[in-house]
Amino acid sequence: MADQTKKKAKAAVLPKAPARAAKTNPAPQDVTPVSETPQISPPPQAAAPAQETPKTKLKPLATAPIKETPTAQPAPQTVAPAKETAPVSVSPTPKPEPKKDVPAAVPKAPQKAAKDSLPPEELVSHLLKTLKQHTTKAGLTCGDLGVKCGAGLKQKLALAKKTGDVAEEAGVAEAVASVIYSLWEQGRVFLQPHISKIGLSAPRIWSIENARNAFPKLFETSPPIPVALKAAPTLSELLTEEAAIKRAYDKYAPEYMGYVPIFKVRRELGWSREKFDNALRQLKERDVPLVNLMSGDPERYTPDETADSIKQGYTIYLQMRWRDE
Amino acid sequence: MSDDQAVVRFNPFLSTAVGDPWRDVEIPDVTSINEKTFNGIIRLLKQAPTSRGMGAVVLGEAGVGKTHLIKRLISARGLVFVYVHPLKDHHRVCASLLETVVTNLDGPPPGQPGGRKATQLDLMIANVLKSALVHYAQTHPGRGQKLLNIIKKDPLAVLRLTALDKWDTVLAEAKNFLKERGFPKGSTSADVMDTFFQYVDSSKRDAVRKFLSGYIPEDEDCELLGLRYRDGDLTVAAQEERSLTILKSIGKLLSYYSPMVLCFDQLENFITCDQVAGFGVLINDIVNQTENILPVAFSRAERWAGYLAEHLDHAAKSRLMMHKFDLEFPTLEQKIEIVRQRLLWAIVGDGLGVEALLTSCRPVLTGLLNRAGSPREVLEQIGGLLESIECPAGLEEVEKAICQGDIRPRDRVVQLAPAELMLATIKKYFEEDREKILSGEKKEPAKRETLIEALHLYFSNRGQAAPYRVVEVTEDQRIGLILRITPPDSGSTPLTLDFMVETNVNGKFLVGAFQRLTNRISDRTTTCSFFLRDSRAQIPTKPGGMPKTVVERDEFLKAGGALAYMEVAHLADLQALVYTSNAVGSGDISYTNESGERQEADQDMFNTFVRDGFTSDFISNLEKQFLTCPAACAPPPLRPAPPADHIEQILAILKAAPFKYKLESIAYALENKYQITLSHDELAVCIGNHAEEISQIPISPPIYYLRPKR
Repeated sequence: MADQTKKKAKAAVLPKAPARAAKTNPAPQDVTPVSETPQISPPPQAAAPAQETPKTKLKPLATAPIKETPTAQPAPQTVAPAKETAPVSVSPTPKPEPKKDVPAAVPKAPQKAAKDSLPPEELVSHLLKTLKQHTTKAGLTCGDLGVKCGAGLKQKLALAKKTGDVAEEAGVAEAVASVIYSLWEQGRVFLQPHISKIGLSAPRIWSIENARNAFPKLFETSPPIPVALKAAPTLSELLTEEAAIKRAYDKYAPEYMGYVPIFKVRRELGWSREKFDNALRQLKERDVPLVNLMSGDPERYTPDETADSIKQGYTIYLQMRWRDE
Repeated sequence: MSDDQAVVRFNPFLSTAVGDPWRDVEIPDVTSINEKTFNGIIRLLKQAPTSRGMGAVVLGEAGVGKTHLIKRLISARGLVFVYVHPLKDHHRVCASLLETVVTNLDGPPPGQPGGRKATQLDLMIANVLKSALVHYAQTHPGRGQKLLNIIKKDPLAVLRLTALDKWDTVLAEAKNFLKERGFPKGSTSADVMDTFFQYVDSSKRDAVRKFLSGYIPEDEDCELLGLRYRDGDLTVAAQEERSLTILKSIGKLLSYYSPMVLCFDQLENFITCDQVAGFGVLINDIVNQTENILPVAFSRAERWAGYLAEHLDHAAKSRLMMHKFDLEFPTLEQKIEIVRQRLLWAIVGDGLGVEALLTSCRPVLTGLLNRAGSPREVLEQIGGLLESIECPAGLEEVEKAICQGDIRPRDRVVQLAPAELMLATIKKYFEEDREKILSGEKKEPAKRETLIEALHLYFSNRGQAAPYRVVEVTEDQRIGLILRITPPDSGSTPLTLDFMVETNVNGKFLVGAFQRLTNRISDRTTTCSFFLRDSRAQIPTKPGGMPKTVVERDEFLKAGGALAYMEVAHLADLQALVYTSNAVGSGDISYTNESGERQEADQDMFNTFVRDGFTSDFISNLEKQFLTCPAACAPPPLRPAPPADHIEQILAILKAAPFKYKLESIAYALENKYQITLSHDELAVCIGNHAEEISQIPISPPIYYLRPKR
């Protein structure tokens, strides 16, 4: 499982969009390799240094490079893992310890530079509004977003071209990509990197709000963190617990054809009742659950064994099964 | 609620379990759920013609979608589909299976919407003929090309040749074609081949069905089908052998059409070692001796891993475990898709409103659905939220109910205590299943094992309130059910009552059955005997027919036996009782308790329902007879008059707004508008008889509407 998580983490790297910046901003020596510390957008203020940030005309995102494998592509914001960044993979990924000094280290200059390069607010709000409406289930590609924005977009783009905020030669998709990149740098949109394994052939754009709902794990540690959540187990703790439960499960899985009595796993681990219950529920109550908990046949269990299973309200879960995928 | 707003016509989350997949075809499906298993079964089916001896087992928790997956197979094209309820009579597994197979083959093919006339058997025949004609055209260049071109596009076109002189020639060619390709030899197989093609003649269909179901044909049927009358061996072992031979022949015929998937559902309802052993023998027979038939077992995982795996024959288990599929709980996105599809199913108007609803409710739904595991839990959670609104309702009301996110159905719980709630849930399931049986397109035939099991359930759960005390209930292979009771006025002497359910049409068989019962009355082994029979199979079948059987019947009646015919409504009572029992065993009946948690109905509560909540006019009549006149003169047959058909008026009602009606609404409209009083049973039967015109939404309770014309 841990291997799988690592693989996912490796595949899940920055979207291609920042590669444009990488051309002008070669990876510095002290950059943490992307493949080891997968980062996602929004890459806000900790992005490329001010002097490297494009100031005037935003160049469109090239479509061809987007389809390339993004591994080991240094991204503009990979100088240091920002506090606001989160793992890309929806499943828990080893997360680097957040550096406490990062917020202080966020340079103000890039913010200003980025703001200078912002396209007209009317165009931005139009894009963001459309994005919010249409990214509830899945993100949109730049092309899709252009289509969803409808006829009004062309007029606004024409204006942006006139004012020089968008390159004159850009098509609709390129122009949208250009604006979106700008917004991404500002942390106002979320870019889901393309992952061919799950059928994403191009990066998907999300509104931040919808992305929070769709990828709640990614935003768990994003500020502001509710006080109540701080007490919850950290991702690394959960990962350790997950691995331990999986090990205990695997021990009994062949004997029970994969449908392992929960009491066996609980007794194998010897954790406190609360810790085991919470950990197992965490594995079950995910967007993509890792385990299935089943009520089973109570008659086959002694009262002790039933007591060592999991109770949720009146439902007693007696068996668990680790999902195949 | 303005006119242009989308309206939710009914609570689409109330239907949480697929009962009989043939009846509940219209329930929306999220194909990404259990997709891997579905594709796996389809892949196995494609391999079936070349790889013999395969089997599969599908395991999953209650509510994870086993029967739903079976329902999806009905929607697939290019396969022959058979759904099998648990075969509990371990003495006659093969005969029971064959009867089920032929009943299913006599139904619409998978992937074909209801209301069309072609059956799976029609398609089998058409494709066998097509293959024979292709072969004929190849060996006789230039001949039959025109016909071939037509039937290549539509194999069923060949059936239109029946009225032509050519038909006999076509049949002769087809039979030669089959013989040359190794169609099984032997008298039974030869009879299967001769009989099979006669199915296209509507006047012979009934006789063909009986023959293919394994019944030894009577003189009249032999004459009708052109078969030589044979005195068949009527022992159970011989019937089993004969059924297997017919099944093998059917498998051979399938090689010219599509492989057959045999879905053995709800295996967790096997409760005795004998039942499991019988199933094992059947699986071995299928995988070792038939072609083009893929048995797929569906069971709750823990029951399979425990009891079934322990008691199932090793060879059968190995065959099924060759391809084991574990059903997974859905992901959040799939759960949301369930909600979306159900809402789209129920709304009239713009579907975009559903998208907006899901967007605004997403945070609530995420939390709620992540706590739910199986699809059934999803339906119950959301269904619980919508209990507070009255349908038809606007989407904004639905949105409000969901966004409030209070999953505890307080109002309902306040009214009913947990035990009452569970009883009410079981009763509701039973009544809805019964209505679906009655309003189904094809009425299920009386099956011996189902009716005996129902009687067993009933009599073994008689309580103190019954006017007699049940001493013993025993299932007997030759009789059926033997009941020993103590009536209140007979002191301590118990009475013995025989119940025989006989569906056979063979005169010799019936004569033997009547003699057996008469002898038991004569030698006082039993106090009274009841010979129960489907009213659609009268003795005699026509005036003056079955003379020997009639003589024995009269002897039986004279000795004090009772012959009771069961109407479809009577059968539905007993069939629904058994199916409800199976549903309880499979964990398909559940309710939300006072804590808002899902709780499954258990066997004890089902027994309570049988004792206190189940009523059957038919059994009540039987009780009156054996309590008032045991061993007395023969009672008159229980035959109420058949219901009048008022289809014109029913169609007129359905044509009027709001176009969709519950059964009670139709009955009410009939009475008020046309002064026609029909019982709900009669109405349901009438609707079922006109299924080509009337369709139904299989929710609880079903909603009827006019089937759109093609």
